[in-house]
Amino acid sequence: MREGRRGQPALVITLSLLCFLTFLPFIWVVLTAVKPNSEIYALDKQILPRHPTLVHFRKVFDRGDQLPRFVLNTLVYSVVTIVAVGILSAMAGYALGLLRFRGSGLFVHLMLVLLSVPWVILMVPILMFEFRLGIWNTREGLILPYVALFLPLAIWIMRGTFLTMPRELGQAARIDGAGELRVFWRIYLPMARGGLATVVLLTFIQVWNEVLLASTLAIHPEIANINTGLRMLQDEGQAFAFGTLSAVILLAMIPTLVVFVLLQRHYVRGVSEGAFAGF
Amino acid sequence: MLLAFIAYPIVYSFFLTFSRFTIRDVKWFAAGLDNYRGVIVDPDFLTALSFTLSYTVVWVALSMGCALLVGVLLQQVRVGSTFFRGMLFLPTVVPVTMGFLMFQWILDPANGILNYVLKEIGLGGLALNWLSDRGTVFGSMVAVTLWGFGPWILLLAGLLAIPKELYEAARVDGASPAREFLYITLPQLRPTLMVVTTLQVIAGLKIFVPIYVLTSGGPANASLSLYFLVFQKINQYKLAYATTVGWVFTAIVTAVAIATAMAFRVRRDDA
Repeated sequence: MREGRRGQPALVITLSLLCFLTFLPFIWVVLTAVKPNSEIYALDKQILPRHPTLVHFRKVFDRGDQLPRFVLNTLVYSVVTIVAVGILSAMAGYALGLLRFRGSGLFVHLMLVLLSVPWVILMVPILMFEFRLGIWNTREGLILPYVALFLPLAIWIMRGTFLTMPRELGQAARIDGAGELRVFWRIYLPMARGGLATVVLLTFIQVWNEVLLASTLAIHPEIANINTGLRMLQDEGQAFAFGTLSAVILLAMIPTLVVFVLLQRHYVRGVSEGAFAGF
Repeated sequence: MLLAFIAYPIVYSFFLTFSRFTIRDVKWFAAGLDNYRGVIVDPDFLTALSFTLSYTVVWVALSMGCALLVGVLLQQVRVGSTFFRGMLFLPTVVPVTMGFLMFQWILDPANGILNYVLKEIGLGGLALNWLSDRGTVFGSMVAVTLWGFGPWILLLAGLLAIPKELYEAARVDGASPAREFLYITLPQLRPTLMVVTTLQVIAGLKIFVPIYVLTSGGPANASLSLYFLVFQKINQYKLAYATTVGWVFTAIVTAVAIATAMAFRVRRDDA
């Protein structure tokens, strides 16, 4: 026991150091964002800004609605995807976990295969279908594959949630004359709230981090998501120099940070579950 | 019906690799094995393959090491563990491209902080073009993707599940922390380690975003990965090539994942 306590200060110091290392890029970006260009590109650099300024932030908003639009696009993508994935995965998970119809075992196995498929092999077929349907480079053209591709993992999580529930509850309710929909909606769904929260957060994280599909299916600046949008701004090069870029980065972090602070516990669970995703 | 959305494209995509096609029409099975032959002899593909494999080996080893270190530290610490966890978790919260964009600025040869600090402390000779030099781009990629210290959050759950009695018993017997780690932590963590390592290997093989943000595969394809190659070819409308690389990639991922799982099983039999 004494051994353990003696080690504590060293542990705290090491961890603080690691935290500092993690934080270093943030600090540097914050400092850059409030430095005037003359200091950013000066030959004799200072770590701390001598004349703090908000000029970069102003420039971001002066350039019109670019950044807000990227954020808004991603918000739309995530909300629509979350609603669709949430509803579909809850119903499918309920069917697979509690109703267990004929062939549901096969269905579950098939889903596991889909979970482990790398997305690259799907890119070209998706692209070709979307070309033929005329939805390539549209918002729907990005949301549809999102729903389809994020769904297997969500169904898997919901199935796991429903599996832990007693089937007797539903049987009792059915004897009392409750319809199938009522049993699902009134009895089981409220109990599955935890699983649903994980699915929602996981989908949110995945949409906000998605690059591969967004960079091939939604390449118009009007509909770019936050990731590909920032990449486009970066390509504009000098016009969008480091000071402004830093301001953009900081502003673009706000939405996910807010969600993280509000829903920390679920967020961690979402990330852990997301590690098993197929993309 | 839901499965048709993914299952159908998978089959479709597999058949495409044997066909000659454009975005509008397909001549089924007209190409035979030509697509595969074209990929295998392509020097770009071989470059991407060797970059992806060596990156995966180095990155998985380092990131698992980091994750183990952070995980064990968080397991042992008694003060402020929630605080440290929250702080160290932050890189995961930031949307991926933002994190890498920050590094573009840090690693900038002329105005970045890294080269500035190196010059200040008298190591000006080490101030390099981190992202645009053939020799350093590999190391930069590995370093940049190590930010966040690997999947420690996944290991921590396993570490916290190890019964405390084991450590208490070891301490009564006078075991040193190093021996505790070797004889309690590692064996107890083995199942978790196996799963997480496999996941990391797969994630490593799929490296795409940092290349997309920082180097676009350059300089001179020195940081070209398989995923980025597919992305490049799709943008050039070389769809047959892209699909075929995708399937070769799938075969590699499957093989590597099975090999990783088997390596762990063999070692367990030894013990």
